[in-house]
Formats: sequence, structure tokens, C-alpha cells
Amino acid sequence: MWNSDTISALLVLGITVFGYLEAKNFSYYGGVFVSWVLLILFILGVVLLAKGLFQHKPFKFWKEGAHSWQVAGVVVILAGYILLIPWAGFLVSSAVVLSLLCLLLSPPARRRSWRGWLVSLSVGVSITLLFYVIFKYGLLVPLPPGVLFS
Amino acid sequence: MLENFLFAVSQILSPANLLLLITGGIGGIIVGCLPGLTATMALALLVPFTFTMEATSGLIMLGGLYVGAMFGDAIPATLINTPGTPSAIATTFDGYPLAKKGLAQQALITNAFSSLCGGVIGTIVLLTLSPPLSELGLKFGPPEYFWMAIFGLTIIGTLASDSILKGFTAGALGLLLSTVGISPIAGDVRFTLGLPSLQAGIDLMVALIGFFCIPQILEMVETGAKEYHILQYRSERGIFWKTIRELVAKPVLLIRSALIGVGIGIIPGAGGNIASLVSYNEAVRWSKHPEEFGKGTLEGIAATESANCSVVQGSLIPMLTLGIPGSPAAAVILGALLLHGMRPGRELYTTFGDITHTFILSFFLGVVVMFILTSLGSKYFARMISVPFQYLVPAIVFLSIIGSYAIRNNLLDVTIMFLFGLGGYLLRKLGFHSGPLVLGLIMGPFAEQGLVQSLLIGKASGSVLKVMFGRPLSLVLIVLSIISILWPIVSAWRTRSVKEKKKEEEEYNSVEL
Repeated sequence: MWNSDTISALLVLGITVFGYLEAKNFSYYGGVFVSWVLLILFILGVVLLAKGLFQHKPFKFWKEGAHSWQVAGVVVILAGYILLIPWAGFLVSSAVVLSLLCLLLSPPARRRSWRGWLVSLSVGVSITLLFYVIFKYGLLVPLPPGVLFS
Repeated sequence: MLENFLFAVSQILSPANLLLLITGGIGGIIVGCLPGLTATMALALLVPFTFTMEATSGLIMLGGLYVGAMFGDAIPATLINTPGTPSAIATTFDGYPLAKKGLAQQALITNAFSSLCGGVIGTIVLLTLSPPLSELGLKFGPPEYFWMAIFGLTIIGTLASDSILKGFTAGALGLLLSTVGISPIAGDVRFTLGLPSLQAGIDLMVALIGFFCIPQILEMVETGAKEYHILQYRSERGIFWKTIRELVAKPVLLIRSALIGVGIGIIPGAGGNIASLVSYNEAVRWSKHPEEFGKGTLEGIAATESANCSVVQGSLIPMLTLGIPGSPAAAVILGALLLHGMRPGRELYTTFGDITHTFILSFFLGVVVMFILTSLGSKYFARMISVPFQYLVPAIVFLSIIGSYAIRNNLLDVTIMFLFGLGGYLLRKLGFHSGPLVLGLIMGPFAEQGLVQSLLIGKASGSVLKVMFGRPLSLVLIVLSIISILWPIVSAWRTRSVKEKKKEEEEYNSVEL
């Protein structure tokens, strides 16, 4: 039952229902294209569901030997990064987050040594400084300084 | 004309202007390489600086920058599967698989040479056929835009070779995403979840970074990137001439792709992203080995890059002759021309003929210089993928974040990029490809605006059907769409019948023996 086609179908049908509920309030010209797209999505969702019901290969999110905890770590760090930027600003949050990422992705032996930590910190800080200078002073992109430093 | 041409040659070959061209070109390559920064943004930044220069020098530098960005955007598309600008989406389809085979340098040389061909052919068309072609571009009305979008969407059949059903589903999801924001004609606020920042819609570049870059990073982390390197670079002697020889043997592919690029560039609003996708689709359709596309074939890269580069000149044709910019970047250049007191139209070819020809020739010399620079640099760019994984991933993450922020200086774009990235990763796990989804996002606004305007015109004139199906250019696009849909089916049927015939012959021979 739970294979990639049925999961995809339920996802698509869910999006279609959400879209339909929203599109009910649109004017004719604002909603005509949306309605056609939703109809196509609904048909595709039903076909996917029908196909999935005849398929018996179960869905496996992680392949064998996948570094799942590292993927989860990267996702958490990235989410933390986005939450941190408004507070600590681009410069500080980037240096911290990139150092953490570098450490997380290093070979296990290096992660346990103080040298590994030092290298990760210097890589994080140097990447941040390099691109910060390019974007802020070269390309004149105003980067948020953060609530703590503004 | 000859006088202007000779003046242009003398101007462009002066050391100072040559230096400006190279500086602009290098700047363009850097901008093109950085996801989130577009040629339009870089041109807009450069225009105020060129105001103090002579018109010829300023325009030469702008030309160099524009061409440089078109060369540069293929580098991250090839090496890290992340297009530097939307025009390089299709370059990822074959560029990255080739880099995965250790042939990153060959892929980069193909990028450079095909861009050179596209640029040279585009410049020749720009110099010789501008006025008649610009009139053709103007014949594109709302129904034609709608059918052009439908034709563009038929490419999904080519892009989603694993599951056409999931390909079309992803395309439809992309179309739905394109409707987020204020509707183009009626002004309805749609799917914004109450967030005012979403009223402007989803920025294409934010979606591109999200759907291409983040899932790629997560996949690399998941597989552990062999020996802590993303990909291995394999050095090969004589690779440059070997690649050039292979490409020179495909003149039809290069010329066809360049002409597609020019043709689409002329149509206002349709840019390099559409041109490269259409050109890729045509390359698959006409290839003797369509099954090799998507697995790292030079033909796929050559088709997209040739079209992507010739779009630049195509977009300048209506801008120089009629004052209608074919792309956002051409609109910025139009602004630069106006700043120097040059008005588009006949005047540009008479009163300012010398400057205009210098500007056009700057594209010709620009592509030659960029070809030399990127070919020389290809070995060093290709080595980038050998940088240990734990250093390269944080750099890509940082560029994705800062790139998505820099587009509108908006932190919500960063959040959207991240959510799209997670969504893209989940969709990949479910067997969907990012290509059709982004294609839907690109074609959505063209399709919607074309449809709604056509409905309005049809209702006013008394027949919607006549407006949608009764115009010659629309009919051409409808026929092309039907051919494009049927081609993969016919091609698959032909391949199957050839295989069956071979099998029967083998069985017959074995019985005979």
C-alpha cells in the first residue's frame, strides 16, 4: 500500500484540495488558470493512486548505508541558521554555522581531535569573510547586521 | 555600413577597450558562477559606472559582462548541479552526469565552445537580419504566448524519462506554484498564506536554488560522498582538441541550437531558460542516440549552451530596432543607451551607427575572449570538485543562503528556498525530478497571462476559439506541440520494433545454426 506512487498521489491530492478551497474565492479571470491546473493535478493524482494500488514495492526513505543522522544534522543546522540570521546577523551566524557544518561533515577521526575543531573553525570563518566582503563591498548587497549588533 | 564596421573594429581593438571588455567578462563569469546573482543585476550595478565613460567604452564593458555571465552560469551547473542563472537549468541535465564520470573538464570545454558558436552565430544574425526579425517578434500576441508555454511544457516528456506521469505531475505542481501572488489581470491575491512578501510571487532564482542546490547537498551528505570528495576529477591529455573535434563534427546541432536561441530571444519576455530547454528538447528529438541524453552526453550540453548564449543577441534585436527589450538584461542595456542619449530605432543605425556597430562587435569579440578564458580556466574550475567535501558543502550552503537573500534582500526568500529544498529532497525520494517542476514555474506566467488575455480578446471579438486556434503563428506552435508530445512515443515504439526485429533475427539465426 505505502509505495512511492500512493504517497505521491496522497500528497498531490492533498495539495489539490487545499488549492480548491483557496481558489473558490478567486474571481473568474483570477481563477480560470488555477482551476485548469488543479483539475489536471487531480486527474494526475488519481492516476498515480490507481498505479500505486497495483504496485507492491514498499517505499523506503533511506537507502542502505545512508548517513541519515548527518542529513538530519545538516537540516537542523540549516533551520537554525535561518532562525539565527535575524538575531545574530549574517556575519556571526554564518561563521558559527559553517564551522559546525564543516565539523559535522569531517571524517570521524578528525571530528574527535582538537585540530579538526580548529580547522573547521578557520574554514567557517574564512569562507564567511571572503563571501561577506565580495557581497557587501563588491556587489553592494546590504546584509542584515542582526538585532544584537545593530 | 562598411565605414561603421571599420570604425567599430578600430575601437574594439584599442588596448583600453579590450581591457574593459576582459574586465567586464571576468566580472560576468564571477556573477554567472554565483547562484542568486543574475546578469541583469550585474548590468544594473555597472550602468552607473559606465555613465562617466565614453559611450563606446561603456557599452563594450556592458557587452563583455553580459556575455561573461552567460559563460559563467554553466560552471556551477556542471560542477555542483546548481545553475548559476536560470538560463543554465538544462546544462545540469548532462553537464553534471559528465562531471560525475570524472569528465568535468570536457563538459566545461563543451560549454565554452558551444557558447562561442552560439555567440558568433547570434552576432551574425544581429548584424544582418535585425529589422525583419524584430517585426516577427512583434507578431507574438497573447494566444501565441499561451501556445509557446504549452510547447515549452511538452519538453517534460523528454525531461522525465523515468516516469512521464510523475514528470507531468511535477510540471503541474510547478504551474500551481507559479500562480502564487497577485494574479496578472484580475489582481486576486492567491496562495500567499497572509504573507505580504509573497504577493510579488515566488522568485524563480529562489526556487532554482531551493530545488536544485539543497537536495543535491542533502544527497551528497546522505551518500557520504566517496572518500570525502564530491566527485573525482580525471586529468586527460589532449582533452581540449579531442572535445573541439567532437563538437565541430556536429555543425547542424550547434547552428540549430543557436538559431533557436536567437528566435526565442527576439520574443519579449522569453529568455535563456526557455531557449535552452527548447533547444535541449530538439537535440533529443533529432539525435540518433536519444537514450544517451541525461546521462552525460556532449550533445545535450552543446545544445543548451549554444542556445543560451545566442539568446543574448536575439534579445537585443527588438531592443535595438524597436526599443522593446527581449529580456530583463536587454532592458538594462536599453537604459544605458538612453543614458548616453541614444534612442532605439533607425537613429541607432544611422546617427549612432558607429557606436551601435562597436557595441554589436563587442559581443563577437566578447564570446571569443570568454571562450579563451573559460577554456584556459576549465582545468582549474574542474579541480574545484576535488576540494574535500567538508569544505565545499559549507561553501555551497553559504552561497545558497546569501544568493537567495541577495535577490530581493528578503529573509523570507531564504526560508522559502530552504522549504523548497526540503520539498525537492522529498520529491526526489518519491521519484520526481526537479526539472519539470521548475519548467512549470517558468512557463506558468506565460501560459496564464496568454490564456486570460486571449479569453478577454475572444469574448470581446465574439469567438474565443478563433482567437486561440485561428492565428497562423498559433497554429505553427500547436503543430510543434503535437509533434513534441508524439515524438517520444513514436521514438519509443520505433526503438521497440527495431529491438524486436533484431531479437527475431537472432532467434531465426540460432534455429538455422
